[in-house]
Amino acid sequence: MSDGRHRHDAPASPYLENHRTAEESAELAERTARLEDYLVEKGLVARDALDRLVELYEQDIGPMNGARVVARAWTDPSYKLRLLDDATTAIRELGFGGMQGEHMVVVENTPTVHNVVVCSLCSCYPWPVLGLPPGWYKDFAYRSRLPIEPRAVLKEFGLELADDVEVRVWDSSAEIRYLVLPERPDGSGTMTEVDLAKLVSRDSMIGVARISVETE
Amino acid sequence: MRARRAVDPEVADMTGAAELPRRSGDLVFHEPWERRAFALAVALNRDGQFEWEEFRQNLISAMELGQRKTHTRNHRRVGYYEQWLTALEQTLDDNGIIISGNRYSTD
Repeated sequence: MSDGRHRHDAPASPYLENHRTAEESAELAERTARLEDYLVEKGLVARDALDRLVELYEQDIGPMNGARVVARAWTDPSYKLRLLDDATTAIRELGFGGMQGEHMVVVENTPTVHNVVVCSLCSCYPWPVLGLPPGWYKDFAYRSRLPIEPRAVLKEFGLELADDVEVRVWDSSAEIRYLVLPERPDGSGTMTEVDLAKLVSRDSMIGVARISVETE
Repeated sequence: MRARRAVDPEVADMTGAAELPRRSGDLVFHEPWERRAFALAVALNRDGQFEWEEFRQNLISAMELGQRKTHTRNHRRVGYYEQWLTALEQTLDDNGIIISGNRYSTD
């Protein structure tokens, strides 16, 4: 990688290793513009709709497959064992791919242990299971403070932990990405796996929130 | 909670060789024309001009070709969206929307 700043991020797909020359870039831009002009003229695309369309994709949170992983672990004890033993394989077992050499590790919350995930160097994040990272996950404040004062940071998220709960902070890297297996909420005993998956929030799988069953 | 997605999972969630370049989830475009090329393919597919699978197969073929080029000619690595653009032209050609690669013109 020529760009050392991003070495913490595993490339999801072939990135450019040697950069294009300015001339090559100009040619590609010209080729694209020519195609666009042609398609606009033929009435096949509307120019102003194109930007809006890209924005939809840029803002798309993603598949959020992690919620289904969590719900399966809550309802199938043998799956949970496999998940804690070898998360990469167990997640793939549910048909969720795209992990491109990232090793997934699942850490389980219990009444006495609370896990929370950060990437202190940049913003490594398991997109295939968690979707797009929240804005705060990439903020310097979160990345720098969480490893030092996790309890205080979690409190700001509205999560107060008793003194006897051990807090474990997991620092992601290009090689290892973490998913928190939250505690199954009280009152969810009769719920189906599908309904359970709907309860599981992204924040709970990063470890900054608990899950509760809403009672009206 | 899972909100209904405004995007086509067939496009956004491609895996394997054709997977969209992302950095920790965020789509990566190196130059403005890459965004335009992305948008063109997605818009035309959404409007029913071609099947996504058709485009995806052309993308994979373009990538294989790009890789051979890199290996045999000591060429710089061909970028994802260069291959995307080639695949888009091919797909439009296959569907009779443009004629033969670069010969379309508005002049």
